Amino acid sequence: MKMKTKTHIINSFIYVIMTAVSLTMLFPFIWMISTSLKEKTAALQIPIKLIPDPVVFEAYLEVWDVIPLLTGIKNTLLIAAPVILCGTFVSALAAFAFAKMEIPGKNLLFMGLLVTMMIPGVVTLIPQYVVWGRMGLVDTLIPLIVPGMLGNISMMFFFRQFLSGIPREYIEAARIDGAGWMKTFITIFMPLMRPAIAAQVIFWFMGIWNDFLGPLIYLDSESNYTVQLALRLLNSMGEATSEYPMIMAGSVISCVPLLILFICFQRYFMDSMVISGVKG
Amino acid sequence: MKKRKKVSSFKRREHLTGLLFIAPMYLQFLVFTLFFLGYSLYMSFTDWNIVAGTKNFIAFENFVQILKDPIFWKSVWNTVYLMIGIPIGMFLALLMAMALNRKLPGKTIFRVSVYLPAVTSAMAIVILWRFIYNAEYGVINLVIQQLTGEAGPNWLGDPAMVKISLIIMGVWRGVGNTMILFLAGLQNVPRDYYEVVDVEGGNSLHKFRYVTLPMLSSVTFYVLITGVIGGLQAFGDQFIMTGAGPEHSAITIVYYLWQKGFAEYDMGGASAVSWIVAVMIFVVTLIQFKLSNRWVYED
Repeated sequence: MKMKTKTHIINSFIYVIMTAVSLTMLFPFIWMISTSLKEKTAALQIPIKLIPDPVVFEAYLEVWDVIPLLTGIKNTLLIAAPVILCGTFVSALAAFAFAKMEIPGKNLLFMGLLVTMMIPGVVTLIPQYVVWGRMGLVDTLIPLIVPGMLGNISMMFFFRQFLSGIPREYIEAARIDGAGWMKTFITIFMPLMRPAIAAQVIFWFMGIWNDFLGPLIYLDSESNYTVQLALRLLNSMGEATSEYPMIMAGSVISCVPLLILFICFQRYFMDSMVISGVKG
Repeated sequence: MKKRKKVSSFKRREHLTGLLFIAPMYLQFLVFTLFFLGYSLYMSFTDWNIVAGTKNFIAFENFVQILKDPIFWKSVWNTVYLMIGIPIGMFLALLMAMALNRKLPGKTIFRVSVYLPAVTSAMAIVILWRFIYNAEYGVINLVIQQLTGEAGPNWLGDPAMVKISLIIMGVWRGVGNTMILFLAGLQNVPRDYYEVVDVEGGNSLHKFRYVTLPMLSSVTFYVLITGVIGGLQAFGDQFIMTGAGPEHSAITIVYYLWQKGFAEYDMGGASAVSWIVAVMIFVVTLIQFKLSNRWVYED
């Protein structure tokens, strides 16, 4: 009985603290949404109002004309689609070979790739820029697409961990049926890997959606802007203070696709993070 | 004899197919990593400038210039300073993970609201915080003014406040991620370990010190090492929120690199900076791995 009272006290304490923490964490979002629904003149009013009065959606309509947001979304998807489709397949294929096939010098080859994970991306940034420039491909989406299509090392590493838990009997069964390696991979292993693929694809998509340094360096014309570059135009409008509802509306819009992904795939998200952090 | 030959040709096909399967990733490794790594090393020894058109070998001149540049050292100091956010975030994340690692109805709501900042558009977050921090009409200062009647600090305009503002935002954004990892680590701790402490007559503090902490050490290591590697490459937040900041108070190493390469078009100098960053990351990672033998518990 005494034990139970103690637990109750601790739990109520945790409720109070965690409610305060959660509200603090959510407040910036609440403020963002609230501002985006205000009238221009009401955005900076004192005393501050959390609930806009009146609620107007004007900013959400206006923002599309002021910054190339739709172009940004389109370009980001143009980058993400080939990179993720091809890159994921290539990474999974390599992971399958490393986990389940006999290759001469396999461990050495694998270690070589792992070392790459320690090399920071900024080191190869400058010469890549120079070479893409020579090829006349700066200010196109190509430099942001091609490297990614050749796979993603951390994704490959993750898949290999995942595959090492799948028994080799699957292969033998398929081989006896006369299936080639590619067929075995596509028909048997790809379906088995679905949860791992889902989790990694979401993370990669988030990475591409939020990439800033790459697009900043390579893309000049507004017609090639990605979402992040389009949003950056909003940032420079911050000085004209009456535009805040629109600036916040643009920010809300850019968060929506990621939030939808998060809500739909919450379980995969958490699992994938846990595997790379706890077991990796 | 005949049979053995058949087996080996079967094996050889497996070898070849396997090599073919890893070929695209190796192409990426050879071209986009090894080749450009060498290229960047070469560039760092030249005065390569894509506007001036120079491309002469100048040996270590770039490195000498950079190491003599007080702004470079400022950027190193700022980058390290901003990493204070890592231990702060880890500490808060651990507290929250421990609070949520019990039977609490509705704890998913807490978990999701703490994690939410990690799944939003990066630029939107920085723009939002820039608005929140605004000295005149940012919501923080408006609240301070309403409560105390005095003006709040100039979050992004005062060199003494800029880094603190960036750290607060960074902790807010990253703490949920770390919390989820700690939470998973806590759920992996076998219950009987705690029972042993009970049997031995230990209290909750003992449980924390002798079971929880050692069992979380490998997650802690992961969070620390990825945090430091990411921290040494900090760029986007600073670029958008403050630029270099007043008196270069927010300039980071990668920002310094960007300035050299894409504002001064000094590609040689920028490559040299990138190599300094790479060596720093390599050394720090090596030290962390060496030290990890002493405190990371592997099962």
